[in-house]
Amino acid sequence: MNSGLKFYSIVIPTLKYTNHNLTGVIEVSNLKKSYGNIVALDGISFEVKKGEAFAFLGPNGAGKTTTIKILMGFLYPDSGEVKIFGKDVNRYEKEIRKRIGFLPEEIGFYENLTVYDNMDFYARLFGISKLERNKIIKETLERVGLLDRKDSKVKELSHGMKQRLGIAQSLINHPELLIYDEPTSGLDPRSSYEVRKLIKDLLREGVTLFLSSHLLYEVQQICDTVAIIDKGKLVKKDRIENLIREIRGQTIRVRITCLNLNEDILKIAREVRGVTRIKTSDKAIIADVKDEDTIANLNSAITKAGGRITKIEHLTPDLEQIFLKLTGENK
Amino acid sequence: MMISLLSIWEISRKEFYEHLKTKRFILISGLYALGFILSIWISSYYSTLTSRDFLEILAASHSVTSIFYAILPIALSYDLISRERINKSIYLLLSKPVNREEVVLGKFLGVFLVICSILIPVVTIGSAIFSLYHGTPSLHDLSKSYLYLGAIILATSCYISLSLLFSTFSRSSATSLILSLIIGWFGLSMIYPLSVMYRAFSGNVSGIPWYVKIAYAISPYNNLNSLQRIISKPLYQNPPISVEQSIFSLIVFLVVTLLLSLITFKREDLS
Repeated sequence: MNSGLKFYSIVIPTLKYTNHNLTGVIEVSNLKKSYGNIVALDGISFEVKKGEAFAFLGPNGAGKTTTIKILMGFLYPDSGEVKIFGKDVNRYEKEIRKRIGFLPEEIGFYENLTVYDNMDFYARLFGISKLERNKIIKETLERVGLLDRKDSKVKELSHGMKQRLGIAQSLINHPELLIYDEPTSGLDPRSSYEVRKLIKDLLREGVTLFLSSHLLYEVQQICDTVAIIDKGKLVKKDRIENLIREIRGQTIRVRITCLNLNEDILKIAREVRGVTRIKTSDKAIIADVKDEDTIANLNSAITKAGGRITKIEHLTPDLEQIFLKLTGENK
Repeated sequence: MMISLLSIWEISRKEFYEHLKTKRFILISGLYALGFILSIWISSYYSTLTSRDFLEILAASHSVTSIFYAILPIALSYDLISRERINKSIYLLLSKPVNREEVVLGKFLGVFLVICSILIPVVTIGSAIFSLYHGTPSLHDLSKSYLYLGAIILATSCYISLSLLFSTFSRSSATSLILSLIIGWFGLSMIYPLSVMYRAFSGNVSGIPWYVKIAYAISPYNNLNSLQRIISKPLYQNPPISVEQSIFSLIVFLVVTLLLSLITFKREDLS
């Protein structure tokens, strides 16, 4: 067999759950907030559209939590406007909260109450009837894998379990918008994976996500749009692939590992339309190409020339590099 | 501002059941119940009183346990909001469709119900013990005993509300407790004796000046003593204000402190 595609892999920069229309679920305009002389937010503006998975990134102290607390109505801005579902967050707090699921960075439950009683209390605040409450609580606890601990007091739960309970309480009202602050904070790798999987499932169901996270890998897996905030200012807001394109320029750099690489194959590769530059490194071709189609054409041409391709990788910057560049932390 | 009675009820309900299980409630209410019932039982057992002396016995028992009418509400309320902030549970609570006013009112109602749930049964049991030894008191005396109990509950509500106010702006529960005890209980009670001293030193001994009345009326604890006239003559001092003025003072105190709690918590940044 000479197909050359035994181990074909392409690193895809982002996973997308695109279900957007143009309705702004969250609209933040010229938001300012100071604590004494310290400026926490310096006129940030952004919009989160319906169905979008929106990541809010920034270094520690950049103003992420302040923004989330203003969105939730816990803090009052000095100036600016914050609307969720087209309504002012401080004037229509109850109407808005009926449609939101919120997970704070530091979750506080009523520790002496059981898991079920905590959930029951929150469900009651949404005015859910007794019959429906019981069903929703069981379904939600099952979804996060806590049904067997429903009679345990919260103080008896591990950190990971509390985090999962936090997610469960955020889903009790079948929210249209999720505002999550570090949802996998302190979780072990397996629990983190399960939480990410749950979030992805919710996104597929059409929920809008506003996610603040330090884990850029997590953001890159879950979100399609990123806003980067630094020192209270919005540094950048765009779709992840646009940011990557902007950073790397107009070309895509790929590494094609070819076991029987020779001059003939290199010559054919150079002749593929859309290839702007080619060099070799060990048993691999490093090519600057115009677009994703060119990569497919290049793959096809090399294979036809008898090349045995084992791997194709994007050598494009990832979110971490973009983040470091935009927040100046690579200096 | 839309206030939902259902939300207030749900918060108070949670608060009520949560408090019933706390050690501090069990300890303080247990001591109160023991003190009150023992006091009635001892007075009833070792005396040659008749059913006509019911209110005298009741007044004495309330006086013995009067300290609990300040301690119990303060102990249950000093950390109502501050605890939520320290535990960070306030963020989950306020992420639900409730506003801050409902949180304050729900918490107030929850502690109010907890206090009613201990005071009403204990006084009823005390009355029953008295009846065992001296026969059933008259309906008139029973009515008066429960009217006074209502006044006690009003005074305890003032302490709930005051502690709640301190807990809305205190950064720690300890600060809130200290403020509640030192300012709310001891401090307010000290204004009256100071005003009497001022009156004596100023040479104004004819009649009771207005500032002395206000100094007396500002303390729920003083009003509690004044209101004992509903069932008997006051034990410790002759109050400078009438029963009606005491009730009015307590209502004003309650409304003002509750409003201040609502305003303070509403305006506060929950950082």
